[in-house]
Amino acid sequence: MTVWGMVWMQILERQCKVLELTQLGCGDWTMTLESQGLAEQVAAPGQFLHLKCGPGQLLRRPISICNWSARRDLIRLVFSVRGEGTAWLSQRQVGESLDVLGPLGKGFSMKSGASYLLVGGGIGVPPLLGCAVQGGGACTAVLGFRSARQAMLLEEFGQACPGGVRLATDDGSLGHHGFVDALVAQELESHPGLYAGVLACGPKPMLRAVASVCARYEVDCQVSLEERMGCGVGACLVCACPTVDGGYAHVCKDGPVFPAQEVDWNA
Amino acid sequence: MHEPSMAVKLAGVELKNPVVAASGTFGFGREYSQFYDLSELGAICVKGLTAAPRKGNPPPRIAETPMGILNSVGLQNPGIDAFLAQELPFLRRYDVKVIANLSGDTPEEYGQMCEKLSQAGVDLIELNISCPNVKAGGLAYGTRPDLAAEVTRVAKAHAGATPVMVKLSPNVTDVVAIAQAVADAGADALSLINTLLGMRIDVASRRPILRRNTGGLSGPAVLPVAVRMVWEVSRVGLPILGMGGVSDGDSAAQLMLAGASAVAVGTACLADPYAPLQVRDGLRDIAARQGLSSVAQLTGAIQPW
Repeated sequence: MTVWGMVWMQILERQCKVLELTQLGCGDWTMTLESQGLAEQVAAPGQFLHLKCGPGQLLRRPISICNWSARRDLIRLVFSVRGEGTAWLSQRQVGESLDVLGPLGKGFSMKSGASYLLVGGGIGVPPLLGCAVQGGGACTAVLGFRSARQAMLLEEFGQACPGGVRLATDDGSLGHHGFVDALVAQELESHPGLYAGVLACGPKPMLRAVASVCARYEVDCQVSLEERMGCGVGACLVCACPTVDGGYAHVCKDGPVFPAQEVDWNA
Repeated sequence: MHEPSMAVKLAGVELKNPVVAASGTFGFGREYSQFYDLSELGAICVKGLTAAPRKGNPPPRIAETPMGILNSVGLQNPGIDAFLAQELPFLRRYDVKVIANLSGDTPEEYGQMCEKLSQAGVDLIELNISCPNVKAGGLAYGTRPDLAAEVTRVAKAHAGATPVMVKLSPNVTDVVAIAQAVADAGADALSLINTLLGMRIDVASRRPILRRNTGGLSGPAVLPVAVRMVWEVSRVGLPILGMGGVSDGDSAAQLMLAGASAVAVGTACLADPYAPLQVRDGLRDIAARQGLSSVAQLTGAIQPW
């Protein structure tokens, strides 16, 4: 008996073979998995996979889907080494299999063919590539990094974003010297009505600033949030995100993508 | 090799196998029903219920530790009325026993909730008496024999024919004294162990990982503590639902040998939705290898030195 009838939303647990694993110039890692049917279940960019990271790590690690191909049964992840789990992941060999649960969560809601302003910061950048490639509309990207050395995926964003790629770095070593929200304000100011919405992923202070700019220009804004996670499927309730109604939503099931106006930014 | 019978009894309730989904790690079953038929489980112990809805603690609510996790969810739940209206009917679509875990602020509140749950026909009630927000403060209900007994008496008086199981905290000096007190007060079964209080600090920021500083430790790290406590408490003579670090057939069999009639799988579900089924299959293999006609023969069959 299955209560969850809709095939396109099915969550699978599969052993997925690593087809490619290389370190990017910025130090982060790009991994392509033979998805064993998971790619076909991806409903939207911004969803994530939950990966077992070796016998020493009890919990899985959630990693955003960077891009996918249902036809070729591939899923690409881009991740940074933050602790023991992701360090283990970066040491896998091509041909090894990983225990993968997914696709999980609610991704970015995109109207087919519409133009979006994609705003990414640091390791929040990769899922926006999926938005640019799979969204079907002419997107523009605003990407922020600590410095030029951390910049990633610029060429691919260049190819996927007809509206161009604008860059910001905290130290001014590449593009605008400062944060992405200034560039977001410029874009919305100079192209009123062009964007169906702003899709953002990155550190919470960045998201808060972007959400505030969007509210000022009355542009729809969706943000992808992070929180320490347990089960990944909505059962254990640990990945709580404070919401404006005074309660909590859960990043793994209600998110990771939320309408910016539902998030309690002051909590 | 013959197939051993997997059916067990817990406080008079027949379970088709000894594996129970532990409270707090399995929600109300909906999420895991995407992966397999919930009727495969012996029982589901639902997310801890309170009289009114509770929004829970601020994040972070989880921290990973060596072979374990710390959690500080804070009893987030939709409240007992929403459970009865929306979640229990869903669970009743499956051939699985339903255990309702509840926490109250006062003995009277435990009593009122027991009445509602009994009338709704849940199969078993589990009293959580190590709630961090109770009248007497801290873990008082679970750490003082007299208070634990009082809650048990009031719950029993309101639970009708529904058996009442009391979930014991390991954060005590003498778990047998608490177990004996609730047994004398009329408890039908015991479940243990609840989580062990713990803490993890991020050295760089000097901040605890959990927003509430401390939390409950669970996972394989606590298994030896659970086995020891189940063994100690078994002398009280009540049926026991054993839990704490069960992740496979071996860990489940240890708890049963120590005295448990059934076992609950909790933290292992977080990493693997199929963990309860793997524990069930592992137990069946062990019973078969040992030539048992029934897995229930493991209960209390320890040969201590």
